[in-house]
Amino acid sequence: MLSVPPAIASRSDRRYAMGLLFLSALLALLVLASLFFGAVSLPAGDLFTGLVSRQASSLESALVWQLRLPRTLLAVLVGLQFATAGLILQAVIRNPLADPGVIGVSSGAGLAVVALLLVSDMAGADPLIGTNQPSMMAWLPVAALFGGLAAASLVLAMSWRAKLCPIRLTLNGVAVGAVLNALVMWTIIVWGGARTEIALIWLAGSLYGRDFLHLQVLWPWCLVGILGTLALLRPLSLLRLDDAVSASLGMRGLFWRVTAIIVAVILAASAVAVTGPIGFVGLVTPHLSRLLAGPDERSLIVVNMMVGSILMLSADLLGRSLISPLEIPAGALTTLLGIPVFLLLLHRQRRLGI
Amino acid sequence: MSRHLVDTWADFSLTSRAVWISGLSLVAIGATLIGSLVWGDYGVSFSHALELVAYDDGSDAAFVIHEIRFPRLLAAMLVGSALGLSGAIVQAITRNPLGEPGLLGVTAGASFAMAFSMTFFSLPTSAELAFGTVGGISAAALTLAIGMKARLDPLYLTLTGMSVNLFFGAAIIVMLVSANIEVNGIYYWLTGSLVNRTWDHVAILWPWVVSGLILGLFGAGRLDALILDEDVLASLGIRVTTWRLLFGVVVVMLAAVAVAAAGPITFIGLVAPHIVRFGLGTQGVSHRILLPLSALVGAALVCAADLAAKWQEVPVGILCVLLGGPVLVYLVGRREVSDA
Repeated sequence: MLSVPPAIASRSDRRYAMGLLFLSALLALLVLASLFFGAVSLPAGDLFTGLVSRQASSLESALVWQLRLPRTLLAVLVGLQFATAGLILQAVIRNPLADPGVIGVSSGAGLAVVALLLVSDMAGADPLIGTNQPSMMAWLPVAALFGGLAAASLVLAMSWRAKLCPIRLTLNGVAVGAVLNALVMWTIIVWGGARTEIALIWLAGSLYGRDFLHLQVLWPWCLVGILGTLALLRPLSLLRLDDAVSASLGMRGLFWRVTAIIVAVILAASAVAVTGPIGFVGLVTPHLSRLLAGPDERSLIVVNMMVGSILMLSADLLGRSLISPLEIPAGALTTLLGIPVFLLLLHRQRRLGI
Repeated sequence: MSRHLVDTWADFSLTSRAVWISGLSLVAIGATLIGSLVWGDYGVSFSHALELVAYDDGSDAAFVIHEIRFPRLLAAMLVGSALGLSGAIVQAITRNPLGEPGLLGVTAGASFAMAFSMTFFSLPTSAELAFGTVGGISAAALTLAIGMKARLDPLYLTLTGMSVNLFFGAAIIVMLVSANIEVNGIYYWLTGSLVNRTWDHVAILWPWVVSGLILGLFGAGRLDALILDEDVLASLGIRVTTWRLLFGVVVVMLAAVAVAAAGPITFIGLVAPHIVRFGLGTQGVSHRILLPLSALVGAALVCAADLAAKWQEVPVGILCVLLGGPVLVYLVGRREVSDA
């Protein structure tokens, strides 16, 4: 660690504290908004009573507890998962364009999930849509994990010869993603029938109709991912450095890289299993957070998680209020907003001539 | 054995190789012709099918051949030629071995505009085509405007084009969800398919494909010249920008008409010219040879893919992505593509 003069340190500490306070306030505001706004508009007071008292009979209570609360919590978790995965990948691959979607994790996980759905549909269970088979649903993140790992290893292996050059890696990722998505479409069209539309909306990435069962499936993975990220704190800041430098500092570079990628895939793939691929949150969030947090890795990770949750909550909130009572899938919105940022980053990457 | 084959192939002149490639494509088209005429829920023997192509005796079998299977095959051929042709031209005008209307966002832009017109108005196909062309041109302009800053570097341009693709893909989803109508048909169209194509589609396709081919052949010399450095071209008195724009419009028209007939089918425009170059064993092929051969190979590819699609009941666009994705990865990994 570099030693920082105390005056500067305290100034940046104060700035960081202010930033954290601001983000917490924003996050709290969005959580409340997500609980109190929706397709059915009810007086906030009644909703609050419903939230606190929790009577199964009252409409407000059912609305808040069965629909809006799990959805809000899921948005928070999923947002922080995608954001953290993006942060880790960008550090490990040393590629500012990296994102779970870009390196193929989302499409691989998507294919695995759709394949599992196909199999379970043949077996008569109906995990994603009917949600009456919790034991089946717990398998979704596992399948997504394997699919995501396989796709990510494929993309990385293909780009290894080009020394993981950002633009080549991204192109390979996009190409692999296109092929995997085609396979997903194939599966859906062969299997889909009446369910085609639901499957396609899942593929666009949405929090529609998710309940506590999904939350129950997701949280252990989220916890494992966060713990893994914390364990990676020191290695991550070293992995940014040149290979030779980090080796001289006693780093087992390859080991930590592989571990970090696995942690990122755990975070991203389990989120994909629940919400479908939500594009570009993982790409945009770390860049945004760096503006707020400064260079320190530890504060960056915290800020990054909060910004991810904030983005996800706002995308979900926008998606369900813009054309209420219909819903725009959150993933489509994040892609629409994320692409311009991606192009901007691409342009900067190009100008730096990396 | 294979060594011997390679030597023999190397001994062939360019002309005989070109003849070989076109021969193979024609054989492939012929095979799919037989396959797609005979194969289907309604059984017709091949000799009977051929008789029926020539002569309509008013029977059910004749209806199946004349109104369903034959137009579908023709539409597949025309779509394939349009895509192969536009791919070859766009590779020349952007000096980009990864050039493809789909990879430049043209296909996605055209599909967005056409899905828009399908969702909100019910227009005749020609008006939808006009929509598609405008959409395709705007998307291409967007991609090129962004890519121009990097002097149309192939990798950068392709990445930009694919982002434009994703953008329009998301925009289509937002639009379809907002419109709240029965959209399964549009979703199916968006995967790219040749099911239920009729003579109407053939009638829209062929004038554009033929005029595109003729224009391309007339301009082949110019396309060859565009490989050169811009300063050299300017000193030769060739108006680079004018020619690029002119051919750019041809490319977008061809891509838009293919989208209008079959939905977005990507990667054929990328793959077909590379198959031709690979078969001819040289990168610098004159466009007088490259353009017709690309059209032919594109036609053969889409026909074959459509036959496979018919067998599996899968949209043909999906099969084309499965074929083209690996080719793109291969081309990106190749050294000839400049380092970004």
